[in-house]
Amino acid sequence: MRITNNMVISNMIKNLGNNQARLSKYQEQVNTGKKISVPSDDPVVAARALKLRTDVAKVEQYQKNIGDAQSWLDATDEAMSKLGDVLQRARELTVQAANGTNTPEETQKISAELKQLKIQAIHQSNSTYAGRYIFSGYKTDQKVMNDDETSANFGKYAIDVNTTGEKIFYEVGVGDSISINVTGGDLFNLGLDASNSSNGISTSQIDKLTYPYTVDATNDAISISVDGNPSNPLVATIPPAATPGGYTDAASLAKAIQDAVNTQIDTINVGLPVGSAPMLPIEVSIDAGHIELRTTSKTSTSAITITNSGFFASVNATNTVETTGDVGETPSMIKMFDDVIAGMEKGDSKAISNQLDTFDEQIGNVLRVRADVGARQNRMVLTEDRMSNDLINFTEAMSNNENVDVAEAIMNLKNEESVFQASLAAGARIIQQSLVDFLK
Amino acid sequence: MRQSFFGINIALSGLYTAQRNLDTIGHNISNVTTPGYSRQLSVQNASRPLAVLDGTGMIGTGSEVSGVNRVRDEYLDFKYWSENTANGEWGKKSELLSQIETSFGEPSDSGFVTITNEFFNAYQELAKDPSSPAVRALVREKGVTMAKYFNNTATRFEKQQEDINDMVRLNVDQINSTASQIQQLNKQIYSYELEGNSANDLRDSRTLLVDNLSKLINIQATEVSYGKLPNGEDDIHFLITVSGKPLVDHYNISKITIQQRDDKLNTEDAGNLYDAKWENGNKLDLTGGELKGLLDIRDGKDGAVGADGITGSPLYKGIPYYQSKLNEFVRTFAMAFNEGYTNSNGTLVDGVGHADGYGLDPDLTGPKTSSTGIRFFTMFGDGDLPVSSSTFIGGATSTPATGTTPADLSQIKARYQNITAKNFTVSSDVMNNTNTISTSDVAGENGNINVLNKILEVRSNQSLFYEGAPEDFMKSLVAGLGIDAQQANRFSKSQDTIVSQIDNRRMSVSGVDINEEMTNMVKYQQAYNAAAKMITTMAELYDTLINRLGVG
Repeated sequence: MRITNNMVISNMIKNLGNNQARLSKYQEQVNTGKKISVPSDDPVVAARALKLRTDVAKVEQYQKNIGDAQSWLDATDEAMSKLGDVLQRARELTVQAANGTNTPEETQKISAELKQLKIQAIHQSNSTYAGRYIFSGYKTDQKVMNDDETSANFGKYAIDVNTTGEKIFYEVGVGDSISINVTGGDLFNLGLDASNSSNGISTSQIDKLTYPYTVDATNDAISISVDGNPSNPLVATIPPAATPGGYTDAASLAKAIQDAVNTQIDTINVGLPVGSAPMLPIEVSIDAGHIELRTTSKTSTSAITITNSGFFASVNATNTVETTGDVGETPSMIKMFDDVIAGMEKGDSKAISNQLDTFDEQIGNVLRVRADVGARQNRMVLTEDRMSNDLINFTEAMSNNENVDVAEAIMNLKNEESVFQASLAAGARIIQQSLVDFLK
Repeated sequence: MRQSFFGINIALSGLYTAQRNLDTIGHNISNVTTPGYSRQLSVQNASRPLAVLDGTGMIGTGSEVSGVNRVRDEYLDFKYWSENTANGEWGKKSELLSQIETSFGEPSDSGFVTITNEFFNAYQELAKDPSSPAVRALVREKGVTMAKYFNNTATRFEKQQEDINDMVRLNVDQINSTASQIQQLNKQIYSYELEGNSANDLRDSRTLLVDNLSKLINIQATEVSYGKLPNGEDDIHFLITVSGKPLVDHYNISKITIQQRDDKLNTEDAGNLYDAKWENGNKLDLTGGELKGLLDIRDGKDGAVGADGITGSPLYKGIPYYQSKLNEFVRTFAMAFNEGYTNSNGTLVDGVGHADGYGLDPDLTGPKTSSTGIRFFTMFGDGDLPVSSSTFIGGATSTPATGTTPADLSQIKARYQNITAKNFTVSSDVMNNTNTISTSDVAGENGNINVLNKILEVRSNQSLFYEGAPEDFMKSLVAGLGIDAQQANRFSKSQDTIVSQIDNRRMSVSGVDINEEMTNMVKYQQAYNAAAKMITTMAELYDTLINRLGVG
């Protein structure tokens, strides 16, 4: 084959270019520490790199979640441990008080200490972790019990907590969630729910209600305003009674009023704009001298105000609005304290000793819950261990997948460098020589 | 009887011949670096001999140069042109696909995977503390970051598509100007060669132009004989065709024109892209060259039927394909995230999504501040501001409960078709008030994360996309792009090698070799010297004959 000058030059340029491309590839590998910089360098490695990044990011987040779950469980355990101590001390005092030989003064002293223990138990129910109430189920920004010692409702539930429903789950693995909370009812109410009755009560004194009560155009209108609802005042009409001569008893009249108002509420709800919350129905009850209307809304400011016309005017109602309802049930543990304290105040040692069984039941319940939390803490330790193994495995897999073997990359780089230098040197020789150099 | 000065004439022809040869060598040497130049050889032969009738036969009369030829293997030119077409196509594809790869930014610490991981991790933090304003703000920012990733990528794709469009225009201009230069050269070569000579240097220029043209567009260049000329020579026309249609036919030229499209080919396209057509309006069929590479990447949507429902897009995964994939992603993802809609055996099923939940109720003032119906992701509307959930969903059933009719679902689904990767964003509701980020399934329960946990399931929902979960979708998109780019790189590289091998062979045949020229130069110098010596010798002969021969 004939070799011409331009061939030599263009081949040399091409080969030098190839050398340089390889050189820069290894240079980049050494500089970045990665085998690939764009997916086309190796699509399989690229796809796997993306997957492993997600895996690592997930495991790192799970580790954070596990840490937070552990802190929450530790805080719960701590609170329950203190509660256990309170109950233990209270039981000792109760045993002491059940002894019929105590003087009234001694019983008084014991009773005073028991009262303090009760207060402590109530405050314990509102333990927090990072500013959130741990026994309040989903309502972590609300206290589970009323702990205002001056309130008449002190020691009663302030909110509803559904023991089976309100479990907060943390994700601690792929498809692996753990409930990290204990509800107030589970702990203080022997595994039952915590419950609080409705708020926003409107009670009215009524003078002129006699049965059978007949409704007609003069007295069938119910006009009320409900805080926080879009359509005020709301006007409903009581239908005529099914029985001739009018409503025969309070229950049927109350139901007729309740149904009429709630039908009206439903009508309003249908017409609400997108995104706004529906109005909640109300409850109505009537006894001898009162009619009581309550919203089923759980917010303390929601109150019902009645307008003194129609039905209300005909029964001569005097409106009293109670917006600070929060009248909850008394948890069984607190009730036990109350019963013991009441027994002591009466000096009824029989009644006191009867409560010892209840104490055992309550202490047993706290232990049951603690054992459950302990088991969960245990599980978290195991999961944490598994996650740190996973993290090591995934990180290693990620490194194997996309990181270069530095020694190898440097060897390759050095190799390419010498090839490049050699081809430069060879090129310089080939290019400069021709017959011209030798002709005189 | 021989002529007296016959010998000196013979020697003179030797001088001329050597000089003509040296001229050719000089021409070769000065063109050693001229692109496309073929070395030339003088055709030298003995001049017509004299017949003498004295029985000694024919007497040589010296030498002459009868022509100058160019050394060229035309077969290699054809080979070069056909391979160079594929070289142009894959070179462009490789270059443009690597730009697309850069736009995706994977694998890196700032690509989609990292951004999505961070978004979901922020959501996990929210699950642990749904009432914290700081974590809510974090979720919003991570959501915005994720949306911005799509906005930026889509905008970059659109910009790239417009850039390619400009390149198409330049490419067509280049093809047309090259074609008209070839047409001019055809005229010169034809009229010069009518006399039977060879227009060596003009032919070299034409071959070089065809070399350039073959990289731009798939061409076939041939010399076709159209019968005989009056002087008995073949009437040769030079013809360049593109997919069978003539681009340059001897003295005639048909240009390629570009015109702006009235309707988009693909719904994802930028506006006013160019269509390349023949001057007479006929369709331009492309099978290779840079122009095809550009059009495949600019218009390619894997053969999907275009916006008009008839025209198919090029069967290649170009920018519209990746745009449509990004759009598919944001639509499906936003729908699953907002509404809880997922695929089950190809049917849309309503589940729990962001719109079904309640946000933070900071002061417990009642259901007024709850967020049912709030969508986390919507799109940019007028004035490039995010639209609110109610505007976005406007008119459709607001929050269909589980088990709503397929009609409701498709009504909502239609709203999501308005989202594109470019206008995808976090809704104005969430932008203005992070308390609207919903976590709870009951109003006022600020620690309730039932809805949030359902939303988090979107991340690992394997049936959300044909490719699997959201991250699998992007993973397979990036891997698919990687495979295409790798293929283009390989083709481009191997095609480049083939082309340069053919070019090497051409240079081997046609290239000027200085050593060879030097050797010939020495050879003809010697011949010249010898002829000159011959004249000297003749001169001495005549000196003897005329001056020394004693006459009188």
